[in-house]
Amino acid sequence: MAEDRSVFARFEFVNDLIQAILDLRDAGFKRDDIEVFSSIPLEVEHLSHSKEVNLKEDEAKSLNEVLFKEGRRVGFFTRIGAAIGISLAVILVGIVPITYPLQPSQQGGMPIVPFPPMGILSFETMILIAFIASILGFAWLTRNDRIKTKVYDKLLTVDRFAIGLTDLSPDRMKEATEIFKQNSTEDIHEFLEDEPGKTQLSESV
Amino acid sequence: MAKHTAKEPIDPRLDDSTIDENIPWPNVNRDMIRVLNTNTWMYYGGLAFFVTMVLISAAIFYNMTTRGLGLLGENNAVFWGLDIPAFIFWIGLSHAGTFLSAVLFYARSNWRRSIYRYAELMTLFSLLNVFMILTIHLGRPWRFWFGMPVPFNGRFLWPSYRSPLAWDLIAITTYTTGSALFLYLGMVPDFAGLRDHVGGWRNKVFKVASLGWRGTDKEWKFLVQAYSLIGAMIIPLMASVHSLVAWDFVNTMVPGFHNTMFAPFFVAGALYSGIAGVIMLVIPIRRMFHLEDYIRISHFDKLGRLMLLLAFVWVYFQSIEAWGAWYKQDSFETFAFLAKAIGPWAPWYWFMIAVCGVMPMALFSRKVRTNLPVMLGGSILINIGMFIERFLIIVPGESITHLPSTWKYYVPTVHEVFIYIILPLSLFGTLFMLSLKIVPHLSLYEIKEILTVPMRPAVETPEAIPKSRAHDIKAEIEVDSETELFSDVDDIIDEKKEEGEEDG
Repeated sequence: MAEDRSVFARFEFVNDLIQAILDLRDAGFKRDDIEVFSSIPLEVEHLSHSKEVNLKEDEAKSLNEVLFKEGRRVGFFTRIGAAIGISLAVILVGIVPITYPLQPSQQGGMPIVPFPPMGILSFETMILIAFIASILGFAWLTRNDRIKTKVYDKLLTVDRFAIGLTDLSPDRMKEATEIFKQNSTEDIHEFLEDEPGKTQLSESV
Repeated sequence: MAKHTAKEPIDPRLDDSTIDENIPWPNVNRDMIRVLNTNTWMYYGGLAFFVTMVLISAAIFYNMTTRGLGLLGENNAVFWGLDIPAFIFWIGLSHAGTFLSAVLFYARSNWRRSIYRYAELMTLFSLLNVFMILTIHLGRPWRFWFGMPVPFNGRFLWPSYRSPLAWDLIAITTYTTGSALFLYLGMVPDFAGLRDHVGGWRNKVFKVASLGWRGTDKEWKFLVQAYSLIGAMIIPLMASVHSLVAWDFVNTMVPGFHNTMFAPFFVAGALYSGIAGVIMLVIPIRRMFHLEDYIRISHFDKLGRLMLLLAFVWVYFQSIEAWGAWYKQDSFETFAFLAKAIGPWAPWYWFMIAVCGVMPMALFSRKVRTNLPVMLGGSILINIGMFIERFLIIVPGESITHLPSTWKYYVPTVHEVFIYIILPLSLFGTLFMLSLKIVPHLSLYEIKEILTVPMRPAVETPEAIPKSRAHDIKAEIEVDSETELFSDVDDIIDEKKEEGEEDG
């Protein structure tokens, strides 16, 4: 059976969203298949303290797996950038005095390659390149780990939450739709992957 | 005009909250869009004033460039005049952005959320001023690229990495890049929020700036990771930048400069003037765009406390400087200090002590900290005092060198005042006013994070209630049913009866 169906469900309340995520997990949907949309970063630790949510330990763990998926990290790019930055400073501060045309054996009694400035400049260039690498890493990761759900709702940047599921068989989609309805979803959109359809669901505030 | 959901209390001393948690989330979006679309005479008047001042100052700069540096009051002894005091002042002002956004981010201080974007913008525009001042200060600004620390450039100029001036340039470049990226990264979700609800040319700008942000869990994860990493890196960078600026002076033998405490002294002074700068910016903006729901009186109370703390640190360093001038037993050092304390610069020195050291002690009073006109006036005076402080660090030291025959007094000319004081100030004002129409000044998602999250009210079923709590709830219900609940119903019935009798 072709797995080319997607479903997008919008929620008004965060506790409905959380319950829907937990029910989807119980129904066997994998954490990487569940895409959660919100206008703030949802932190399980913060949410689990509210009496409306009231999560058990295993539920909090399951939710955390969905909301904070393990995988690639921006820190990898930062570390690469930091290493490049340090190398750059070492090369710059090391090579420049060596290639100076008026080369005495000692410059004013000081060693030709100055190590204290090398430390200072290594720190500065390390941070400079690490900054740039972090931003590039962030842009690259968000672009390449882009969510497959084609539908987007403008209310998601205001006060609504949503779940998107893609690559579903008709049976799985039916199952997911039932879960969303049980959890008081505000709006459900079912569509085929290659359906041109409309991508913006709501008008502006 | 958006409806204000939170009213300021009559006595702000009774209110310690930084924001009303019950503001609905859509109001935050609406209020930000309102700021972008609000066009008042105050805004356009302010913008026109700043642009005019930029043009006048630019004309004076052009005049100086074509006619020569002789128009400046600088001389063989005092060759840094107003240039370097202005440079240090703007570097200092830039420190508040990092402090309020990164340091308080790690301190989990929620009150920073409404104001840190202003501080970050102040950082960025201050650093742009720093580059402008440095370029002008070169004397031949069109050769600014000679200062780039790039070897093998065909100029037969090898940058000396032993010089703190080379460290300075790299540190400031790093700080400017980092501040701009840190500011931008935090704004990506906000650009998306505005992209979805703003039309016209701004929509196109926000579409590009939001990098296709959709608010997915993965996007938030990467944003939080990148923001935390950059925040962690920018804090030591902030301390290093002003320390390197301080080492420009410390590594010389000029009286008054050769002082080991300069690095922390500069950093503390930078934070002090930076916090005062944020207060100067936020009070008029709050009034102009009616942002009382987000920027509360308690924000100024907290900023006031911070300023008081930094005032004490500043006073400590000033005292150490005076004490050191005596303790070193170096006659030139002592004389350079006396020139400030009782010599030709004494009026400026004591004005600085009065406004930066004595006046802030009034911040012990909560009445002062919560009085916005007083805070605004005080912050302006503190920043004037801090500019004078930088002037008094540089000029007396240069005037009174180890060779008495070269001693010279220094009086800035009108050209210098326009180029190094009015031009940066008005350029900063222009950029800030323009940013009000392009940049989200309130962090939409960070403010929403401290508001009440939309939750369906909990329904407690008997199974969901733990046994221990079930006993308590049962006891509460029994008490209610026997006393308060029925007494309330009786009262309501009596009231209805009375109303019926009155209606006849």
